[in-house]
Amino acid sequence: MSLLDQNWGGAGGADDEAQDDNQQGRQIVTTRDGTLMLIECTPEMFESLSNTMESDSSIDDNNELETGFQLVMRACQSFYQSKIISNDKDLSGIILYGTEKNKNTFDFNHIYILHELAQPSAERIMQLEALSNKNTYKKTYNDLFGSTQSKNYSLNEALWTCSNLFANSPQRLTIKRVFIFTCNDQPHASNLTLERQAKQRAKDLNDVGIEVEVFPILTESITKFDYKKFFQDVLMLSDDELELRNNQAPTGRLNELLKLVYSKEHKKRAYCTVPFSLGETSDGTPLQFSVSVFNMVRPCPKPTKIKLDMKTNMETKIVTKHYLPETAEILMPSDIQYGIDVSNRRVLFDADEIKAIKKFSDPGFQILGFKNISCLLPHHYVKPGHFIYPDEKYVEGSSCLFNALLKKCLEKQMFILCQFTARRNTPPRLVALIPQAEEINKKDPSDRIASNGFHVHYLPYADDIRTLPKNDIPRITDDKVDVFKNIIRGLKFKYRPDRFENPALQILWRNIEATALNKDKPEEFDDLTIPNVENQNKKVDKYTTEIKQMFFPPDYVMGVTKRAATKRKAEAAATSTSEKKRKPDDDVNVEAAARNNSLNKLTVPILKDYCKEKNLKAAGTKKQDLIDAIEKHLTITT
Amino acid sequence: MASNKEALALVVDIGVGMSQTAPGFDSPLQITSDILQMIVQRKMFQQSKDELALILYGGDETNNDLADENNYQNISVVFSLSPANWHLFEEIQKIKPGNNPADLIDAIVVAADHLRRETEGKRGYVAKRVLLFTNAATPFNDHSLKVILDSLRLQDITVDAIGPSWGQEEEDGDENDRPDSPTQTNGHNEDSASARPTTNGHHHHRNQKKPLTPQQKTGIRIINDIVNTTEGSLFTFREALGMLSIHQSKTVKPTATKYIMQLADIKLHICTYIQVKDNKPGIFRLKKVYARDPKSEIKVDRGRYTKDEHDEEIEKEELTDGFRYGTTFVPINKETLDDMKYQSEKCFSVIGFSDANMMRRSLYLGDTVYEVIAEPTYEEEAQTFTGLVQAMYDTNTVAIVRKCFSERSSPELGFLRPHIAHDHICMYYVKLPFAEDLREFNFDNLDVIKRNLPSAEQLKTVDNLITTMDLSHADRGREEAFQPELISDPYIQRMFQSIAQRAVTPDEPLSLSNTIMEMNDTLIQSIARKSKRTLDTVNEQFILRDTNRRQKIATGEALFGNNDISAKKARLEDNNEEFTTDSTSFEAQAAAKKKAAIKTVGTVTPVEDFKILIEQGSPSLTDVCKQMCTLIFDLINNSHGDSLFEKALQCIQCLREICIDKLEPKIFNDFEVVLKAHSSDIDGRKDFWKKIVDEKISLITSEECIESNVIPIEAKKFLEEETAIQALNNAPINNEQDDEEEDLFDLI
Repeated sequence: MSLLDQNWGGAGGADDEAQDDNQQGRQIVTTRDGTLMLIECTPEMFESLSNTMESDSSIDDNNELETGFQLVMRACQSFYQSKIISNDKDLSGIILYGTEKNKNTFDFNHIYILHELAQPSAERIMQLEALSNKNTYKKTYNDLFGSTQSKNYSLNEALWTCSNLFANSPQRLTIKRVFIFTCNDQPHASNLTLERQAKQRAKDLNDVGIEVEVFPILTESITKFDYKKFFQDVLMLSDDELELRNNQAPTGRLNELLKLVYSKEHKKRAYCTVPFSLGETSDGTPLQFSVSVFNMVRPCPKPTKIKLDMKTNMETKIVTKHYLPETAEILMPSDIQYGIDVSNRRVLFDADEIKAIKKFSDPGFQILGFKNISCLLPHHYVKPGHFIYPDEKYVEGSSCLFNALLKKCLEKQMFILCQFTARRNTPPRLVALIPQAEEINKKDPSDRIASNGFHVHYLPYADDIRTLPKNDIPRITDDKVDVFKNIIRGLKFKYRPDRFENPALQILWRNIEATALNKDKPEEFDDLTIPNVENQNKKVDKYTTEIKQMFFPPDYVMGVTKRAATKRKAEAAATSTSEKKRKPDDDVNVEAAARNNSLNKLTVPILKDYCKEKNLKAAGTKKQDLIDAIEKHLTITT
Repeated sequence: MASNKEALALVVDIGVGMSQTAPGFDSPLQITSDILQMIVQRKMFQQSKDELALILYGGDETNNDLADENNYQNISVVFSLSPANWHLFEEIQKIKPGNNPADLIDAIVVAADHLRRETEGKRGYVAKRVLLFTNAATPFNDHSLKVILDSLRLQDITVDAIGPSWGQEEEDGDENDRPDSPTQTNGHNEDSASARPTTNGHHHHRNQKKPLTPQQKTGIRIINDIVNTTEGSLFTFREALGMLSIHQSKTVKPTATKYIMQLADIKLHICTYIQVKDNKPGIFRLKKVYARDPKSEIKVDRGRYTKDEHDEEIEKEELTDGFRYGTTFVPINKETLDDMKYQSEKCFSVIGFSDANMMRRSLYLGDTVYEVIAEPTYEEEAQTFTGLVQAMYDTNTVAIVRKCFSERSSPELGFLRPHIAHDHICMYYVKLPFAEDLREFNFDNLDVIKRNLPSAEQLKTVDNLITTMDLSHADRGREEAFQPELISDPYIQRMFQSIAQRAVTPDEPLSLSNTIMEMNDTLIQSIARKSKRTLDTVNEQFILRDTNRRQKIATGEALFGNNDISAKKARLEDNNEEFTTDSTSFEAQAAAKKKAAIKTVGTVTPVEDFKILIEQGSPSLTDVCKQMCTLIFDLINNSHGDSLFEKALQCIQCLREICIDKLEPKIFNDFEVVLKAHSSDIDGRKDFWKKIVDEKISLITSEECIESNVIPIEAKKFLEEETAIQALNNAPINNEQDDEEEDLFDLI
């Protein structure tokens, strides 16, 4: 996935500055990537693929992709599709070289800009589909680029075109990449000048921060791709890297592109960077270091529904106006006050005061003390937390003190209790800073399971904790508990947070894509959150049967059987049974009452239920509205 | 449905004993008044149906139905039984110490009689209660106590008594019987709530401890008797404040959401209850009203317009739903949309079990902790459920669950953690992330860089710091300090205080307190004292160097850009950061605010206002200019079409003149830079910038004003050059905001 997701360079990230600015109410600097696909269109690209390539490209469902060109088009298509989900602000474009026709600002021969650098769209994707489809690709290609291919291109000019597109990009790009798709490991073998120019150009690109990547395509006639011949200098590979490349299967990285990925890319930057205050020394010096706050887990947003103008299918915007009901006068913010009605008195505040009420202290952590981890009770949670890591940018030396706190908290099994203000006008919350040591996967040292730092865990206030009645059911005996333990053992697995995809989100993404691209049906999705009861039963059948015999009468159907109201306390039974079998009775009641003109004697919930059942729409929510609706309904039906 | 309101008689001793106190301490009456105000506030804010009466005894007045020449003197029913309102609140604020004797028994009789009269024949009262506030310092007559007790019992009236102390820290046993204790998981230690927020926020109750008089001892014995007979409770002032939060949580009635939990072949009826959820009182919903006539509520019109230069309004019928697919707009009608939705059934299915240690707290998602119990009606299933909880508890496992509330809602992933206490057995459910919700951050091991490695000495200092600041047993009675169960949300407290303050004294500026800090003042101070030495050592041993980068940003921002730096705000700000609050500073602020109210640049005649203020010379030039700048942004931002552009232009020209005149070109030039950046990237505001260019309102040059360091050619270029335009970015604003609480108070 690294090809899709290269937005992240090392810890601490240079991007959090942008976020800080954002926090201060400034411009939001969106960071975008730009990717250009530079695709060779020589006759070899239209040969059948080599066996290695064909068998490896798992994506090709029904042997659609016979030629290298088709394969590359499919890769570009997948890249676009994945980008739309992961980060649709990123820009991409496609340039072909070796074509008959040309289309570029410099009138270079045999260079054709198929897609300028822009955000992907459904049109582009459908065009690429036509260019990879077995039945249409030839005609589409010929129509667009001319039927013959030429080797008289200059890779130098092609790269120059790329560099020019980047230079003219309307957006600031953080990462600029050129992907070259070619089956020719020495494009200018016969022309040393061109070769030298191309290498020089590649170096220039590198100097201005444009990365170049090569995806070799192997065909029937071209079965080997030797980076040493030419591309070592283009990619600026060291000899070690060259060795590695030449031994790699050429399909590896291409497959990565071909794979459709439905996953959102998250901006990897700090939520905020704030001071962490330990208190004051005896001479009143505030003791502060600096930490960056990150969000490790947040619900991935669903694609937002937008409102379109039916006539044009174009986007619309909302304009919010405040006006006085009597005079329809449009008001300015300074004309607006905020009121709360309490006991017939309207209490007024202005906007600044509302803000001032929310403002307690400047953003940051204020230490209150330390507590034993065991003070954290299972239900102490209110909202998703953060992760903090020291920041040296604002206060040098933060890391060392932070590290010392971390080590000692881990050793003593303590957490830090702080008052935390995240933003300027956000009221403070109590947070527990839970120490986290680095954890490395023992089997794979490059897989870091957890980074070192503190988890910021929000604690509830007394106001947030509800008082619930005690539930004191007699405990069951140990021998019986053992049967349950067997079930647990049978159904135990190692939970990993990345294991389950969100079914609702995945289905929506796929459906939008299918609609946008005029597909008959969306890509399939395997929902792992639905437990396979059959499999579960296979593992624990023995024990569940035992449990059934242990606790239940023989004819009992779990989850269904209603209690025969025998020895239950009257009230408990009454509420649950009345609820269970209310429906038919109530209908009769309602209808009888309607006939007797005594509907208003029934309670609103009963009337409401009836309306719901019969699908009646009441004009309002008042009781009379419901009664009106029911009466109307009954005179029509009876 | 019968309502379940309470009839509550607040009986307050205002006699001599209640106002006696050593200097520097709050009198019992003062504390009582604070508690009463808080009770009334809460009742009002929660729109409680409970009815209250206020009865004072020990004052000069006599006003009650039982009084005759000799009996029931000095007892006054100031407020008859009815739902709480501001009138009652003001009556409480008016309470003045009296110096007459009064009989607490008599007062109880009057209260009981009043409750009887007012509730007789009316329905819907679940409880009748007398809350007696006294320190039992004045004598009384108890000869007919037995009759009175019988009568109270007969009427089913409970008597609770609240006072400074009830002798030797009595742990009154019957407290534990209350089913609604707030600290169900952690036992009872209300005593450790070292203090509670009060109405006046910045008040510190220091309540003097002194030995009881013989009269008080007798009084306490009798009160004890009454309280016990009527099954009431004794509370100290501190506990009473604790009790208030109980009263509050009562208003949220636990409602069960029922599911069938499935585990392989086992299906069980279960109930889920909200255990923890961020509480945002409904009362905080603000109405937008017209400043000049607060009675009229403002209506909001959200019209849909085409997103082009025409700005045409589109009717509702001409709109269709859609999604963005890259740059393509995909219209989707309602029916298709419903088809596209993921279909699920209501469920609560166990996917499997996992080691509890895998459930890092950092994975928790969602905003709620649910308690899960078996539905009690199904006895056999409840036993099975209990067995499962016990087995999970013993094996330290959690269950991973797929939960779906209804067919229409999206399924979520969560886990169940078993919880067993001596009198309680349940599971807690918390939501877990899906793969898409994870953000894969990787941070380097801190030890990799040498200078991040603390020395043995440094580690020892930090070790000391942890020991000196250990809160696990820091509270009085060696209990854990700062327990979440005992800390009230300071924002709710402050909002309540502000509403009450504004309602009673609308013209005063708000005084803003920070209850967490204030209520735990003693503790915080003591920890600060203890840790000071260690902090000194930390300061010596760890070198922390501020790079001053933050300051730069702060000042840049203070000038422009952020609307909340208005003059008024600056004055209101920061009272709260100090732990101790100085009341004189509040008065000073009050004066300042009133004065300033006439002194702002208004939207009606901004140019004139501005000129007048400049002439007055106060507030400072910078302040007035700041106001002007803010106002200009307001005008531009709120202009529909170009209707307000003309006014804004006039303001800008005026500001420019003044800045040249007063030799402050930087103010204007900085402003124009911000304005340019601001205008050139927002749809519809570009036109305004065009106007500026057309009018040739350039930066102030060195030719116009010697203080300027802008040469004319630069100024010209500044107007001509386009800023690097952020491409039209019609994305719904940055998703990173998801963490900001977006409630109604996030204005503008």
